[in-house]
Amino acid sequence: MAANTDILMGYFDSLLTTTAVVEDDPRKAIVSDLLASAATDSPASVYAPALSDTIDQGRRMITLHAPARMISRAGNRATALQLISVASGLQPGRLKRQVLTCCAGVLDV
Amino acid sequence: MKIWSISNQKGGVGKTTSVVSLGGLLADQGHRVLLVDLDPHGSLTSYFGQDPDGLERSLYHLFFEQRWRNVDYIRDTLKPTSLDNVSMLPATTSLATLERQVSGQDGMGLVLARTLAQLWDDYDYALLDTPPILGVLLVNALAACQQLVIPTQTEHLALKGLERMVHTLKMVMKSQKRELPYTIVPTLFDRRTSASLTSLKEMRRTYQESLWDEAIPVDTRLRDASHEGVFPHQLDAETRGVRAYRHLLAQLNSGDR
Repeated sequence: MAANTDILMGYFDSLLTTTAVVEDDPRKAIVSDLLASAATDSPASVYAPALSDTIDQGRRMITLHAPARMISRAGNRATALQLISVASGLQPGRLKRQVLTCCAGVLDV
Repeated sequence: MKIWSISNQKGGVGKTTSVVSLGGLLADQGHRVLLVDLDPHGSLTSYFGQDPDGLERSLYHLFFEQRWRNVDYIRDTLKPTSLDNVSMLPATTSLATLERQVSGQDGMGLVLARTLAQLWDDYDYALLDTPPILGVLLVNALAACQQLVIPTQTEHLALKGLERMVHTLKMVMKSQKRELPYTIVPTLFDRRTSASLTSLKEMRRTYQESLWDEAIPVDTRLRDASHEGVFPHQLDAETRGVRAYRHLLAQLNSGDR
């Protein structure tokens, strides 16, 4: 019974799922632009000392917590967009780059 | 548009009769109704005088070349019935080959939903008459509908078909990540036979929450209507079968979510 169910679930999933990607989705263009503008680097002289000792210490002091509840896909996207806005105000550096990379992953751009 | 699928993986339980009876009564209330024939046997198509072997266009053709995107093509495929405010999307026997032809193509279970989306403002109701077999056509109906009606003949073997149908429904709901309300409708009920009484009792015991609390009786006038190619209420608005379907319709509409 369980084996049959697995076979049927695969069948239903294939029939009810579309893998087509809309290549010129305007929403993606907006997010790409947003990421690009947030990632615009300042001159190299500003970029170099970005990962300071202070930031490095701070990273080690932060306790990581598992989220108390699952966040929906829409929630993840909203959070990522908010993070991009915050990151755009950060000095260029590793922290900013990592935040933007994570956001890009969540937004799939 | 409200979309109801009339489905059971067992044949001969009264699916087409239920589609025609409910559709006719909805039309009698002034609604614009679309009947969709998903069965390669084309019982519904034949009911209204069309030949499932001879039609040049049918639901089958919408699965290819993305014709479901073309609203003019879809409208040209529709056929009239014996009532002005009821149209039919017919079946052709070529639907029997669909499983093989679309095998391996993702999203083929969503073609009907997309087709009906194109006709969203043209009709108030769409009733889907599905084949008695699990395959791409039944999956299309389950994916497109907002409510499922499961006619079940009041006899022992039909209970196994009902069990399979409910199991299939649960898997499709899991795949689609949504809940689909369903109503089990006892059909072909004959109070004079112990088989009918026993199986109805068994249905009530097993499917208490989803079971309609009445039953569609055996009624030869329903068969007469199919012979005439008219909706049952056009032939006899007060025959007991039509009266039972009228009660069922009130129940389905009151249960709309």
